[in-house]
Amino acid sequence: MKYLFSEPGKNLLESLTFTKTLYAFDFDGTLSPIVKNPEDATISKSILASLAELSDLVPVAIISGRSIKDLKTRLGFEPSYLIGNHGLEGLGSTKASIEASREICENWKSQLNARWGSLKNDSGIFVEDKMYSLALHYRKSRNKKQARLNLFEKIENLEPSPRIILGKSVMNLIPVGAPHKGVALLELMMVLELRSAFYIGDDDTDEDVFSLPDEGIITVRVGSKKTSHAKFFVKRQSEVHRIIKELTHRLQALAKKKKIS
Amino acid sequence: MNERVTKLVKMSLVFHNLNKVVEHELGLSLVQYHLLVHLKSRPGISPQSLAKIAGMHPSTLTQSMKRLGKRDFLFVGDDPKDSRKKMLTLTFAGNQAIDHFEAGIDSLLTNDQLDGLSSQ
Repeated sequence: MKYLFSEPGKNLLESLTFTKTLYAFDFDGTLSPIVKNPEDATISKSILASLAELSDLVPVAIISGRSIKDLKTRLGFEPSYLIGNHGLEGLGSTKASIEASREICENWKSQLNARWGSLKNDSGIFVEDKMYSLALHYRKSRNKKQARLNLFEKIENLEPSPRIILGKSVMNLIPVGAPHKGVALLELMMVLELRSAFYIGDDDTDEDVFSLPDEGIITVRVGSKKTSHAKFFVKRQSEVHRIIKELTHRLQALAKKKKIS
Repeated sequence: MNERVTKLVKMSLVFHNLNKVVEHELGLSLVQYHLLVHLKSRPGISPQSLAKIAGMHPSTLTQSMKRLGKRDFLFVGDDPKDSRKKMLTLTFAGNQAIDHFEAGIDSLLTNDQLDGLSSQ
């Protein structure tokens, strides 16, 4: 993993602007800072403005674990592509597969309700119903380690078995066989007939993109992590704005130059 | 002497001359342009993959890469995931070289140089 604003990283950022590239962003922890309550997550006005500017120049996608309905309320503009529920919403999923995912999540919710028992005392643990996937949050719990263990106990033997992706103080339960962020990005590249993509995310759910064996996908993680498959990292979430501004600046300069010639 | 071999050698010489003229006039040989265009569409590609896509032998590519690198048309860095591997990127100067080449190649290819190649 290399720092994105090192010499090779900066060269790569520049070279991306010479070709048609898809720019994709995760939402929580990437465009928006991590907050205790997921309901409070917002994108700063300055990032939104820069993102809208970038979106006027190149295809921009936001690929998130949140539902599209939820994402739309947090964005002041419509990006080229909005993909929700880890790739299930916003692309080519069939009605049948979406409905099947919804039914599975309903089923998990009832099973969890029956098992919740002792967890009712911990107000820091709650279930976020994303309709086609569930997120079990424990960021607000006083004893996170214990909360995590308790949640593992509760999700054990859920029927049907979920695909579990651990995030920052959250467990994502996703129906097995449902697409993930990596599949979503590849599908989008195929639809747009692009060989080059840039993706930035901060979470374990983003590893589905980071571990894609495609040299044409430049991956960046918010925060360095030895075990991550991402090629580059930025040190903190605030540097995401710098990336967007640098890309926009370079793309605008290229467009201006082409107009003159 | 085998007639077909003679024809091939003549063809190779005409191509060699054409390549020299193109490089002199436009700053890039045909092969160099071919490589840079592939690199432009695949930022961060490895030399092995570039050789495969461009249909070149990796050792031939290394020579071309060195020449292009000396002129700052491409950047060779370590692969962030595996420092034993290299990662290639097109530079601003490289992109400008492609633009310059593309602006002039059509007028150059309509002259006698190309006719000489096809008559072989």
